[in-house]
Amino acid sequence: MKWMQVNRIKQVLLLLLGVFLVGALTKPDLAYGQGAAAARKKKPVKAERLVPAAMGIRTDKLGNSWNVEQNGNLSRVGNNMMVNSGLSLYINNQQFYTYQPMMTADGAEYVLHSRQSSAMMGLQVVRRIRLLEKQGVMRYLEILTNTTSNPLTVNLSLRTNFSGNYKTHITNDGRSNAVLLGARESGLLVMPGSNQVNRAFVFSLCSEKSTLKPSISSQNKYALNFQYSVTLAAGQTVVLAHAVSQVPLPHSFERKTMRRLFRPVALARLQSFIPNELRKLVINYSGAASLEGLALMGMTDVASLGVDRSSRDTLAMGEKTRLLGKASCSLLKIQTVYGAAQIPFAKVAAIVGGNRGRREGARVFLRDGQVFSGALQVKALRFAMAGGGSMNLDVEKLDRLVMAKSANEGKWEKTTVAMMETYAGDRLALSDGAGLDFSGMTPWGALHFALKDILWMAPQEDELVGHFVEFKNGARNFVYLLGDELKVDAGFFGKQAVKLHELRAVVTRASVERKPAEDASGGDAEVVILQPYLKAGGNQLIIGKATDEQLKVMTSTEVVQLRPEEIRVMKNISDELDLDREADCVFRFELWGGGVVTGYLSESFLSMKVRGEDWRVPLRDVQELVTPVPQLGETVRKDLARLIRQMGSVEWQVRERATEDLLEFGYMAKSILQQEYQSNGDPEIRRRVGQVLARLGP
Amino acid sequence: MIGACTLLSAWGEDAVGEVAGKPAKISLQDVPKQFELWADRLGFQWQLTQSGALQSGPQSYFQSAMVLSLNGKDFKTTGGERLDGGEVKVKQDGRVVLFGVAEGLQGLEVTRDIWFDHQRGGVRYLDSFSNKKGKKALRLSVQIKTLFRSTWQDLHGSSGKMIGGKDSSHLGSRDHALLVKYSRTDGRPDTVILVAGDDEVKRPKLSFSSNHRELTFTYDLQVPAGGEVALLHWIMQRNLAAPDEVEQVLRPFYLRRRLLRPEVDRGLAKVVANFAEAALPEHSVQPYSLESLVALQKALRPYRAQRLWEDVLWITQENQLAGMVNEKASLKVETAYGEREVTIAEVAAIQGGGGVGRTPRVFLRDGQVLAGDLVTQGLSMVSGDGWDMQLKVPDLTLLLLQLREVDGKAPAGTDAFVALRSGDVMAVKTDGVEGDDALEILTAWGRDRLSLGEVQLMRYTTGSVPKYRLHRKDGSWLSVFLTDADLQLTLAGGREIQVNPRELIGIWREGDLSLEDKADGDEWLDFEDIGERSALPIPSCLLAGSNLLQGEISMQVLHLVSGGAVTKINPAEIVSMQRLQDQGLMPLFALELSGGNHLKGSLRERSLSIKTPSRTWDIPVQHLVAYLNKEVK
Repeated sequence: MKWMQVNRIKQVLLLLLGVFLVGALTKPDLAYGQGAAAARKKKPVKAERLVPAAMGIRTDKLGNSWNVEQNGNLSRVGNNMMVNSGLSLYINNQQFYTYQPMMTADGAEYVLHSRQSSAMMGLQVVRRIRLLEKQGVMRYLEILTNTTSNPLTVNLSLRTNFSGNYKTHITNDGRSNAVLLGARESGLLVMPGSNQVNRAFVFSLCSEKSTLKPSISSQNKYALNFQYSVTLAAGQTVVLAHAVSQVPLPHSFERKTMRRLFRPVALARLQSFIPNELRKLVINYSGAASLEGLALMGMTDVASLGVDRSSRDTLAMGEKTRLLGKASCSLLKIQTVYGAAQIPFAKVAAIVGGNRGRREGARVFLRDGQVFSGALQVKALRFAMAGGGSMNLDVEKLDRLVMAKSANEGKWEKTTVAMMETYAGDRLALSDGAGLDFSGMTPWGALHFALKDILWMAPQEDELVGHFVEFKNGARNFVYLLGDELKVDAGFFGKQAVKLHELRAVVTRASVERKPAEDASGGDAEVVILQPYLKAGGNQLIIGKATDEQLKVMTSTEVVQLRPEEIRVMKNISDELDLDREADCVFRFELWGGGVVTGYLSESFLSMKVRGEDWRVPLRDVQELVTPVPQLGETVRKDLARLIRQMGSVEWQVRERATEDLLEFGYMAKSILQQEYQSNGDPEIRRRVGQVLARLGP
Repeated sequence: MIGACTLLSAWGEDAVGEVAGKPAKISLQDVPKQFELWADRLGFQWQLTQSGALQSGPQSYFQSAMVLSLNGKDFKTTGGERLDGGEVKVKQDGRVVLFGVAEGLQGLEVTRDIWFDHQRGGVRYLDSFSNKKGKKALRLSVQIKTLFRSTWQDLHGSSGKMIGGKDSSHLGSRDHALLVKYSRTDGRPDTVILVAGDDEVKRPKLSFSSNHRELTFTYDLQVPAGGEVALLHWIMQRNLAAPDEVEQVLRPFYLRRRLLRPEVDRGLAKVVANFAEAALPEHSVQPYSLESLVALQKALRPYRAQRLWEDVLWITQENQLAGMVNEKASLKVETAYGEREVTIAEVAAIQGGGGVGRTPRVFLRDGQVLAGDLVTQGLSMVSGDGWDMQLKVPDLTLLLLQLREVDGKAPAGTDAFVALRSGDVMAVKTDGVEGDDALEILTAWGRDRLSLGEVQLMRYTTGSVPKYRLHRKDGSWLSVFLTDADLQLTLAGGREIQVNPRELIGIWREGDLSLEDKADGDEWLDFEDIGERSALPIPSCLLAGSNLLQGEISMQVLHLVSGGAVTKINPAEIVSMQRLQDQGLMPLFALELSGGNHLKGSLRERSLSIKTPSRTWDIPVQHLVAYLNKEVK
């Protein structure tokens, strides 16, 4: 009997083990660990309502017909379209398939979720495809999410088959039959081979300055394949944006013509058609939103020297010779335009020498990110090779000496408040930011700020001259700096006067050290701004209060007078209504007290107070004016505080009632709740606040 | 909405513009079997055959279109001439005139005048039948046949009604065009044929084959002895999402019972059978310069409205009333810069409140615009039907006054026009006005001052970042911001006013029609991106951000580093300098020196001193794109 009981117990245990194993194998999350959970938690696109897609032929405003099939590839329309099957997506050589094509509730965008396949284990793929009717452009977003807990490298291909041979493909810079896109190239024009077709295709594959560009392969001019290699960290989501348009056959391929053809499909112009949450994740576009921190200091760094860093020092001679070993030096002095400085060898990350007369002068890269150029004087600079033997190094003859990475790599000295980069490529650590003030001019008024107010300041891909400034409070402005020189305290070189026109970028410690905030849906949140702010052209964000006493809104029936504090959001909807913005601007006003007003404004400017200065912003430059925090009375504030406290009550009913009551406040409570979500340590309160925020929506 | 949007934006300037110098007339001894391929602005192809029929080139939509036969006999070409210089080049119009006969119709001279309009995307046929030598009247059955290579889906009249079934032999009374519609899955374009006016004119009988590939228009005409009769048609290819878009296609060609620029001589206009003579207006009014009405042209663009030879009350795109505005009407406008009184004779158009309280604008014939509250006296209009309407400005959308010869003639003493955010456009004096250095500008490299007289053109643009694009008379192009130090303007009439510079949205020179903004978001990488070398200022520096400074490098010496060697260069010896693809940190330049030497290298200097007439600029070498110092021969 005993052995029967033991057997019974064994059977039960085996059964339980079996159940567990079945559960483990069918739940990929469990197999892949934390990465999946993290990936799921991070939902890059806020909850949207999707409906089954109605596929079919669409015609844009330029008279071109488009037929998107259920897997997202373009299908031929009639006999006279050169593309037979366009932009089919392959991941690691397996074609993308979807179970059920979906679309947004307004029918504007297809959203296609991938079917799992062996080539895509752990990878979620979503295709978002939208026809921009006015522009005549089909915009694609390929969204890849690595749900595993390991990095994943993916080969992504976009394949297009043509009906008959195409004649040639030409890059936007005029090169024909390219296999790689060069520095100024972002896409291809494909000319039909048949005279029967009167439209060429323009493919926009990346931005000009993107570091991720596809390789291009052609199969006998019947097919074109654009291939990207993408590496995703565990839990990471990335987006590959691309677009295609149909154009009348061009008669010339000079730069002007090519620019005109490529302009509508340029990724920079399509940014406003990419959901906010996805814009930051686009990896083949380098623009204003995508660079932060030290990435803004793009002129040079050790990685640009073309030497892989290992656990040993590397002496590089030309492209093919690499010696590993240990470098030493008893004295290193550099004479720069800022003066002379002696640099402890332990702080050096790399030295670039004269390379036997091929270069003039030397450059020294420090581990903390500083870069100096000038005449280098060294004593006993030696290199002991790993295998034995050593050599004395002459700076005049030295090519590149790159030190092994240390634990302090990239870490700034404690006294460093910011890094400043000049157009000559020097990068100086600034020790004391006190009194470092800037003055600049914007299109709308003067802007005065101190170093302590900003995260970074640098030109961007879209505007090569002038500076974008991102402030700690979330403001972003484009300025032309005023003044002649900047007096700085530059660490090794002491007090310096740097000519303002030499200044390229400044990055502060705050920018390097900041962590992205997370919002209630698990995505990266923008900085929570509680003051009124205005979104303007060029991805600018002006923080300031509207100072007009009243705004006169001319609706279709009467004039409505609104005080700025009554307005929660004022949005320029001229583009939605297909109006000429120069002539008329139509705004939609959402009010704190509820209600929506739509109409023209009698004024042509919006007056604002920005950092103490009076600004006048032309209405045509206004995209959106937001007042995140209503002017709440004392009673309302107390009520909100009480309800938030009650969300942490030990009684469940009290917590539930408080949650519902908070929801009743609607948008008036939103900004306070957002702050609570980020700062409140009580997990239950945080959870409930997150629920309310999610229900309030964007 | 096909190409209508892109087409109509140009149509506004085109339809009543001056015709450029006419190309040579070339006689065709041998009329070719097929003429060269024409591609219109929308990319559709056309190919004319010897008989004047049309094919669509290799795209083969038409097997043959507009085939002419008379009393059952095909038209035979006996000769012809080309009025387009002999060949249609890219983006140019084509015009071929074919002469011929039809069998059995002795004495009848037939002419096919075929005009390919590249810009509007269509082909105009003017078929004339002359019985000048005949002693008896001739009865003609004129057939115009079009044969398609594949089956169409539907036929629609221009009123939108589908044609078919029992009563399919005539176009509807409101139809003046036929739409041959293909299914979108077919991928073939649709065809629109304009066949008759709205009035009591000769309308064709329509017939089509049961296989939906051939359609025929038949006209029964009587050509008097010693006289002639003509027929006019337009044929267009388009891709229409829906049949009701055909109205938009026709607008550049036929609007409010008038043919727009049909290119028909006065004599023939009287004998066109399928359009009333009134539909072919005599262009007796030659406006001084319509293009000079910059603000008005821009204002009309969103409405797709057009000023013609009558006053029009524009209500919506579909509803417009033509008539005559009371000549004695007068207006008083309270602008931000004072009150102004004008007579209706001075007015080209009025944009009213539109029923939404918008600030009214009065567009004057001299190019100025007055914006502000409007008080009118006697503003009324008698429509073509005799209906007398009082016009209330707050409710008015748009009132267009007919063209006059003075349209576009600027007030005496005008040097430039200044457009303000208020909507006003003022004619101002800039040359010889006291108060130099009136305008302070800020660039990425510092400040400068200039007088208004030095401004060739200035426009506020959005692009990537809102800013002003300034074109100076010295040839410089700069992206600038303005300060808010008040600016004094001297109006053409002599009065002086003060404005905040940030109120400016544009300045342009009187008579300068080259108002195209030369930097619409694309970075200039070479001087050729700006224009012809001969038009460039020399010396000039092309800088990043599509900036161009008219000035020379004022340094004594430059050091060119190449392969470790350093070469000293006298900037005065530089013919040109062009930035190449950057390698490593510092930009690489290719230099041409006046001795003929060519060098490549990077500059040791970190910044360059550029001397312009007004100041010396310090520009980082990183911002230099190209430099032109001497004329290249």
